[in-house]
Amino acid sequence: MIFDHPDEIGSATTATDCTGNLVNEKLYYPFGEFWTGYALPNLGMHQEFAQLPDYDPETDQYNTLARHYSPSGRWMSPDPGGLKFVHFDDPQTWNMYAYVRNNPTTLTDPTGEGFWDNLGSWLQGNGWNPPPPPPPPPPTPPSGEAKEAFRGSESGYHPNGGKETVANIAGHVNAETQGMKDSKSENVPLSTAREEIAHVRINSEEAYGNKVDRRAGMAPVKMSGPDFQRSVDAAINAAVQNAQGADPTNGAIRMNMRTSMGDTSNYQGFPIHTQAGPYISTTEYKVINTYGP
Amino acid sequence: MRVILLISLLLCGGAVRAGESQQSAEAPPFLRNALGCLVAADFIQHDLEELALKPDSSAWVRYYVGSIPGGNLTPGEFYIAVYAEDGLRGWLLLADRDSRGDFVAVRNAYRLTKEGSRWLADEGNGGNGTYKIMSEFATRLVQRPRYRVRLSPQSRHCTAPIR
Repeated sequence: MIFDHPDEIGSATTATDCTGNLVNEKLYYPFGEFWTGYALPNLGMHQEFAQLPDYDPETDQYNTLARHYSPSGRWMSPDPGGLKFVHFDDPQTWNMYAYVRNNPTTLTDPTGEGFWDNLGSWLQGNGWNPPPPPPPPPPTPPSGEAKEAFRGSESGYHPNGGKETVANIAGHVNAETQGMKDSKSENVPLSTAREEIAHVRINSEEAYGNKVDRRAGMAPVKMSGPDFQRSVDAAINAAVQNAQGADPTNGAIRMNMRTSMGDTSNYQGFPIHTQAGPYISTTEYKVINTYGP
Repeated sequence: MRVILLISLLLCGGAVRAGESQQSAEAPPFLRNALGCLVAADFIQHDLEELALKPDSSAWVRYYVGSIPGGNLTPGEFYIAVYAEDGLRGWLLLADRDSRGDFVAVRNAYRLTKEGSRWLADEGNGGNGTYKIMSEFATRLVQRPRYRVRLSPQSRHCTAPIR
């Protein structure tokens, strides 16, 4: 018989036999990646981190009933509880892929769902899984609100019903174009090029769904920096155009950056759809192209 | 004994100075299968022509499976760098697997150029943010084993390339 000895967050780090001899020892990095350990040959080595119920060595993910967790520190999908767990006065809740408030050495989330409300309930002494809250009231249409408030509400919109919000799309645009500025010789303003990138992301997410990062990945979302608000404006404009059936990229599903306006060559067999630039850039890449079938 | 130790130290020192991994054993079958799918795609053949690599020629390759540090979560994605004979250029090719486990040649690849001890990546999908991540990845990739592989197109474990 083997006895597991979990640590303070429930990770099974050591195991002993009935005589007290150590037969299995495992150490994890803070977010659950296996670090080092050993096991007696006939015992195997199973990973049990932070009470997450099931580890799949083939995918290197911990599986809960609600979603899958990667030991790189992120859930593979947003909290299925949806926006009810996002509190606008607490930025830590905005990232619905984040794992335990990025505090994995003291907090756990064995169910993968409703961490924030569960945490609040637990802190108030009401247990980890309180009764579900009443359904939220239906959203109020933004008509009649101030323009800025309306635009702010648009940032949570999912173009084409896709996975990403306008704010997420803006984060990709921001990550790819940060540091770029308008130049005197540009053919279109940089704001237009940012809108085109947003269109590419909307189109490629429609084309590939959850595989978009594997087929046409962009740099991870960056929601900060001096250009982020410009990227939000561009993504909102692109989302509105998309909803109206307008797409200046004509269905482009790839984009890249090149060094000169003269370079209109194909991209992996796709012809060029739009070319914008040249812009002032922190790198040699000053031209933004889009491509598609 | 001292002579053996001295020779061992010299050999190890040489490898460390070079900063790049040396030739490894025979390439694993899944690497050959993934490459076979990639090489069968016309858009990949076009990339490799830039490196003066034709179908059925041999090339040095390195590979990595999983998510790129600093990048998006892409578990199970194959990243395969194919290098030109001059050792100064290459393409970082991407292969995915479909639900049956067959390989899919992804229509996205990054041109690699060696600058000093660093590899720079561009041309593939994305912009400045992506190119920075892929360049750092390509530079770190040289620490992984290097294989000499024949670039033979094959479709036995392939799904047709996705647009």
